[in-house]
Amino acid sequence: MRAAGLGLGILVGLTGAAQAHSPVPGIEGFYVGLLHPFSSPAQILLILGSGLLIGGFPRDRVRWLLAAFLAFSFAGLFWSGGDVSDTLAYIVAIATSALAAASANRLFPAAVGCVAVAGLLLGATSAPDGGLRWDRPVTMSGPFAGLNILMLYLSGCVVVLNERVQWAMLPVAFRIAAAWIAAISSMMLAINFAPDPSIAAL
Amino acid sequence: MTRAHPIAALVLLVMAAWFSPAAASAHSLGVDKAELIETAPGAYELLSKVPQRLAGAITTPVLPDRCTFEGSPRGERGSYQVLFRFTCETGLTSDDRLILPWKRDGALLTVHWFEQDPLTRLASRQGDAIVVDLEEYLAGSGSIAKAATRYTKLGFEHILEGLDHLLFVFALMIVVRNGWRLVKTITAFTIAHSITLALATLGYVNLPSAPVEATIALSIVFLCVEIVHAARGRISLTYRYPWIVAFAFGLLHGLGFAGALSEIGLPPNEIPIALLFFNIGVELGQLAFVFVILIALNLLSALRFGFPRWAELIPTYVLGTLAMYWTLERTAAIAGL
Repeated sequence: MRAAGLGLGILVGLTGAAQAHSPVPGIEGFYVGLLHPFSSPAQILLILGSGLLIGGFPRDRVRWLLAAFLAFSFAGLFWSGGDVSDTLAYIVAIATSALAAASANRLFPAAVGCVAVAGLLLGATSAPDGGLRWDRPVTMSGPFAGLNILMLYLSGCVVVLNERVQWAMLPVAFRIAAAWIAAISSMMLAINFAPDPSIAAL
Repeated sequence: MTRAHPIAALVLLVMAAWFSPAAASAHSLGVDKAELIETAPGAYELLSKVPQRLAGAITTPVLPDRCTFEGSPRGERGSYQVLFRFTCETGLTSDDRLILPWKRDGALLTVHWFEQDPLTRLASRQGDAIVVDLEEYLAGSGSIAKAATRYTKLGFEHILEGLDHLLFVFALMIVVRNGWRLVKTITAFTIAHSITLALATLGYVNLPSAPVEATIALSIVFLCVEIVHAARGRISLTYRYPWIVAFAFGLLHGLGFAGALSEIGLPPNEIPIALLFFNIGVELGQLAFVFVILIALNLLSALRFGFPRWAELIPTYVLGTLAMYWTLERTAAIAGL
């Protein structure tokens, strides 16, 4: 009881310093972070490719893939080398969406690897820069929540549609979509390597 | 002695350069305090608080067409202020803007509307001038459509930034999982906060915000305790009649919303529009949150994510700890700690 009282006292003492803040310090950063995963084409392609790849698997495996994405996107937020090049992101996007297009269900370990690397890169590219000590955890939770909710929505929708819509062409449509994402990622990668004058000509 | 002269000249030159107006002009960019005061309906004073050396940067403001200067358009220049007086055929509205071609980075502008609480915002430089968009200082009084948009946006933003309100709704969603009961419970919460929001905005209820905010945090703690009790088999009134709890605490949350609404500056003749659309904004934000969570929960359920019994309580404990922290923080603020 005395310990509880002491703990309460310490907590009240600690909270006194924070009282000048708004109800939740960094909450604006949370919402900015929530949308941060959509801030570059590389990120969007990576998310779409990963979502289609995860959703293409049976639901007992989807759980593991989503868990891998969650764990690695969290790790990505703390990755010190967070300055991920677009080239790397496009390469992983190509691998991920090509795997989804190939519907390579037998290559589950490869899918786990792709999803994990995609999660790591997306986490790293979504990490906020700087920020106040107390605001930073709230701000960081924005991209983390945004990425994982989005991945759950994407892959969950693919799984649910595949199971509930009795249309033989639906899985094919998803594979075509994945192939398009792989193609767009390849094109973006090529543009990345192209000399500046040829990009200017575009 | 002959050597001393060039050195003395150099020192004088440096000092002259240091204290000369040219040196001051190097610091001429910055942000100063300014005030716009509505002394009577349609009569205004625009006051720039700058030291005399910077008064030259404060040039004649560009007013809406229906407004004219009283006295010199160059303003009355005092030792630490430049004052412009002007009148308008009809009062300034949220559709109006003042263009201040002042050579400053911005102005921390406090607006005192006639018989209303002052409101301070930073007006930033846009191109060649500081642009004061009065919409930022007075949500209503323009066109109804504009006021409606502004208040709806304000309500939507307020609920999304007020995480405590959302977490209360989230705790209600843990308590009530059944579709229809959830609709009834959320509706009870909505009705309740609409009642107190209206009463507080119209001035019938006036409670200090600090205890209200602390009690709002405590309402989340209360729900979390009920969830943990229910997990241990102790089903209480909250689980049998969740709408009663939602209604009771919704009354408190409405008082919290009223605080945000009063910050923007409400013209008395537009309180009904403000109330209606602020509430609509709050509802839209609340519904968006509920849908995001419901879709996520349904997808998790469709993917048959099985969580052990103990893990299901983790969100409740996280929520409860956070809410308890806010309760203590806000209580400490009341006590002045």
